[in-house]
Amino acid sequence: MINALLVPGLSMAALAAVLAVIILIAERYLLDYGEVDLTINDEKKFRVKGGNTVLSTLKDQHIFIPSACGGRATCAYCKVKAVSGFGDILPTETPLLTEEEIVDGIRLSCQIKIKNDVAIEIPEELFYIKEFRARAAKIIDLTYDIKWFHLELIEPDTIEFKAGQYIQFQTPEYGNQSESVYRAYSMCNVPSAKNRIELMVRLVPEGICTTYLFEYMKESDEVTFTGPFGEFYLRDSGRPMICVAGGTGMAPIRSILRTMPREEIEKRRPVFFFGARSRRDLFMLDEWREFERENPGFTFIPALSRPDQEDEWEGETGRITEVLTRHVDEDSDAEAYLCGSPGMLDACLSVLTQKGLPEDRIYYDKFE
Amino acid sequence: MTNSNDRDSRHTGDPRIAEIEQELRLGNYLKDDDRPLARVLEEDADAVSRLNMDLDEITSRMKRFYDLGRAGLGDPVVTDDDFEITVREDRGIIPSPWRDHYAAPKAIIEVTNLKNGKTLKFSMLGWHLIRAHGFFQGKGSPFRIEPRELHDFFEET
Repeated sequence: MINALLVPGLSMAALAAVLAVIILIAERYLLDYGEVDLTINDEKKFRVKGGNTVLSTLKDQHIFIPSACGGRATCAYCKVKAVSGFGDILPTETPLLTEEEIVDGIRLSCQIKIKNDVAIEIPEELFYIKEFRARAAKIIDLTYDIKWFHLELIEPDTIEFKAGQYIQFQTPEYGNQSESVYRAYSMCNVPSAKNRIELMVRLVPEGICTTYLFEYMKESDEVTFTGPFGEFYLRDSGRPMICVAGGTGMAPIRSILRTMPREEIEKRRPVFFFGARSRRDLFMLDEWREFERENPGFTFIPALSRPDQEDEWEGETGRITEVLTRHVDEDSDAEAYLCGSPGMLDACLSVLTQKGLPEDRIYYDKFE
Repeated sequence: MTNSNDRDSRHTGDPRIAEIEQELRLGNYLKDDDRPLARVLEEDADAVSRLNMDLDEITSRMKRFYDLGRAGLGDPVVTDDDFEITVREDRGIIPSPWRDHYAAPKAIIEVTNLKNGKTLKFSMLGWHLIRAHGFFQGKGSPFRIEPRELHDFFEET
């Protein structure tokens, strides 16, 4: 019967695709949910247009939930607690939610739609995340594949963040790239410079965002980002500090160390291990040596894993994990701040925990 | 386990194929390849079949290269069976354009067979797209791997 209704040559798959499109169009243009109430944390109430996802509705209210995949139910950054008014868990959500999260009412805000009065809970700090417009004020080469971007804020013209946090940079459409994407980068400057942020970015081969930053964005261009995000910041514990970074992982460590008062550095005696492959991958050496002179108690230990002969390197050699093994005492009462590639983080975590550092005294942000 | 023929029939008959193709074009995964996605999949699946490739076996060996190479923290690692592997990793994830809820690590793996000098370069997203969907990416895409290239690399190992 159904086959008799089909246009010759149109397969069931194609029919299903057509029906899916019709449903989407109908939902978008024919279903009108009118205005509904969105209550957040039992205290803030917004009158919003129904029919859109929680993620996009919150964005319209200038509340920015972290999201790196553009609403594709992939990154799982955009979790919120659904208190009331939502239907069952969707098939697109289940792969990204644990059983405990499902029991607790956690949902992906990019997937669930507001069709009637609803209530959600989100972490309080998300209210402080904003969308910023900024201007590329200065672009400096740090190495052959790392640049230092200075962005001056336009609107809003100031930002509040904790040293160690990150923003999500929005890449506009450019060249053949017709998709706008978000990528996370940590601030490397101190938060007291409220009218700007500075980022260190390494070129990723064929990377959508870094290709834009390295090859298309010019000084004075206007850009957009949201933030600040992240739980990677200095803990006020008074403990000695072990900082470990590789490449652009230097960014949040620089922000943290340069924010610390001189007396605190003297007291907590931070040691900064910075790993690179060869001399050409090292940068800001002079700045760190100067920082070392100005701040008794601070030690900078750059290490090269494969120095070239012409580097004439006399400093530490070996992978950063080997250097840590040599320098970190057993059962140290320090806490550690790590920033680098996921592989580096995993390897350093392993070394530090073997040295007796409990995991809850090791801080890092994997951007995963 | 999924064999290459299952992958092909599943995805060319996927009602979301048009939506996925649009996503792949937006993300430059088809680059300048004008062929419809279904045809790209079919032609590569035919090549896999002709070459009698076991994609499950091949992709598990690719994953092993990634796992072993990570230990180098960016430096080359030489394995007992004479492969030199360099894994370049960056912070963050890349969402799969297939809308399959997979987020790939930002990693590029370069492998050299030290016995014959043959090389293979792939991204972990590319690995996932081959493993899960039999999608080798469009002609001209920076991370496309020709099935023949993959076959030849593993044939001589």
